[in-house]
Amino acid sequence: MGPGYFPFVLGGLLAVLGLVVAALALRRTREAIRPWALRPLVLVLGAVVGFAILLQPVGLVLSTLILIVISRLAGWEFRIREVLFLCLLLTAMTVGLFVYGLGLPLNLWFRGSVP
Amino acid sequence: MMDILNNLTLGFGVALTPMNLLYCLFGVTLGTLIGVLPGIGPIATIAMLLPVTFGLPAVGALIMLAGIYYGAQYGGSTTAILINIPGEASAAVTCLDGYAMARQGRAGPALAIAAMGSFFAGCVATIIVALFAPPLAEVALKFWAAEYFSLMLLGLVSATVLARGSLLKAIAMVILGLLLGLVGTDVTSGTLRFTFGIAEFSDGIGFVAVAMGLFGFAEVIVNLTQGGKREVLTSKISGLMPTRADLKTSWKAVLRGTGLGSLLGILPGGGALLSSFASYTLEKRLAAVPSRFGKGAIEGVAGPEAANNAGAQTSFIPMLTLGIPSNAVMALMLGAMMIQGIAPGPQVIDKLPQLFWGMIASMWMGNIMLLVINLPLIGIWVRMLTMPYQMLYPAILLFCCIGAYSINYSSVDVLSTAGFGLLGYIFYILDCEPAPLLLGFILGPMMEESLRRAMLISQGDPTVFFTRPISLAMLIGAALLLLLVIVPAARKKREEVFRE
Repeated sequence: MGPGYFPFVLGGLLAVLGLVVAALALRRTREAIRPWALRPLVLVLGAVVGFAILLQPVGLVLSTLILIVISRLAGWEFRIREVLFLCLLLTAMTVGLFVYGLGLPLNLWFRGSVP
Repeated sequence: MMDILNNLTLGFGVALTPMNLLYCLFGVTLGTLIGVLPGIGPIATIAMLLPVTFGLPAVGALIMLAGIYYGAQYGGSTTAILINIPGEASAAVTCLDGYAMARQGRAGPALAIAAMGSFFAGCVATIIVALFAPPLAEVALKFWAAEYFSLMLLGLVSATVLARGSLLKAIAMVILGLLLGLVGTDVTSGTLRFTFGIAEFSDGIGFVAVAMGLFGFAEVIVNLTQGGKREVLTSKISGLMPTRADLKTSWKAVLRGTGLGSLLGILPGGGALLSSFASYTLEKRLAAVPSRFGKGAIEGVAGPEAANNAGAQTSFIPMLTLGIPSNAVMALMLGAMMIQGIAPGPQVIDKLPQLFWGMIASMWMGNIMLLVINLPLIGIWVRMLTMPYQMLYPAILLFCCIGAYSINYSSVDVLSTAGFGLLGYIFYILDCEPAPLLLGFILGPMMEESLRRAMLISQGDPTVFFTRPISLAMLIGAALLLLLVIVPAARKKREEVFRE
């Protein structure tokens, strides 16, 4: 039994199931799939991807702020004061908890600078 | 009997150390909190905390994670009763009569009976775990690879049969999960599989990335699309104590809920969610005047709340004794054990008695803590309800991101978590439940290994699965379960139970 055996069997089963689901969907009365909500999808995942890319080059503090602001745009009622409060609170919590509390080796500011 | 007493003494010795008490308190408090807050459930929370558990001792980590799960069952009822939104999926049926009671100004008794019913169920379920897990593990120790393979197959089949939504889609999700679990280096031959040249995938896809993406990120996006404001019925809590008549009508419901929940929790695919739904249906069937349900019948709160807590705790039995997760939370617990370097399976009880009995003792301690946290301190949790989701979700995202990053200090993990977030949202659009995928993901490598071992021992003869009696029985069980669902009458029944 080689390394391809189990994946091959599973893949075959999955393909058959996919065909059955597709065939049933064609025969039955149309059931609408849920509508896409692009705004939260793009902003939330965008904020995460941005954080992943920025964390090493610009440090924890700035990438945290960017994550909060972008992701907060995905919600409703963007109030400046509320967002500022969130930024302050969460950044302080993150730095306090993860860097000083748990001692994770994350650079706070730009790469190379002293934390 | 003497054995169990000795073991429990050992367990309490472990659970009562100051650090472990603290982990337990932290777990149940956090569980209550996320139970109270709509939009974040135990799966996402446990996934978020997995990276933190790297640094903890194994017993402490598992005590804390377990506390989150059963703590959430307590907290979930608070939101259900006060604002008609289940804080946790298994509290969905509590909304029906709990909210109706709150509108009649009887929120206090509803909250009290939910907490007391949960406490009673939690105590009973703890004893059940202590009594039944060790003998079951002993049986399982005699299993060979063939039995293991068939057992896992049975587990996955019943998990899909008992899952909500389309059966075909659930099976497809399990298979997809199994396949995702196989990504990385094949243990036997060293071949790289499905890595597409990405070096980070040669160790397999990170368990944390899958869980956080599917349950953390996707949930946030879904919640943001639904939006909405909530109305809190806080002013109407006056007097927590249920009347004598309340107690008289609900104690039988609590007993039945505990029994049903304990039983359904053990079954693969069971757990808190199924238990509470089943208990509500049962209470409605048995009631002298079923039309009272939905209009503030206290049994409709007492039964399901007892059942979900019992089910949450007994679902640890298959996880601890067989190494088979019965629901997504147990899959995460198994993941946490593997992160700690513990191979799940029937040998855990024998080899690590302090882990097993410590966890059981901590469950009982946790239930006492929860009673205190939930009844006298209910006011604090009610105030938490007014916390808007828009303040909450950036924090969830941030903690997920840092958690995912801290596993290997690699941005690739954060990016793949985002990828699974996208996948999770697509599953939501297509109406596919992600929980079966997580079960498959955990079991994929184990299933392949036992399949190979079984075939190796039988020298390539596949009939080994049918000639060994225990294996055959489990395969027949799996086939029967599938048949049962395909038969139209039973299928109708299944849909009916889930609709209520």
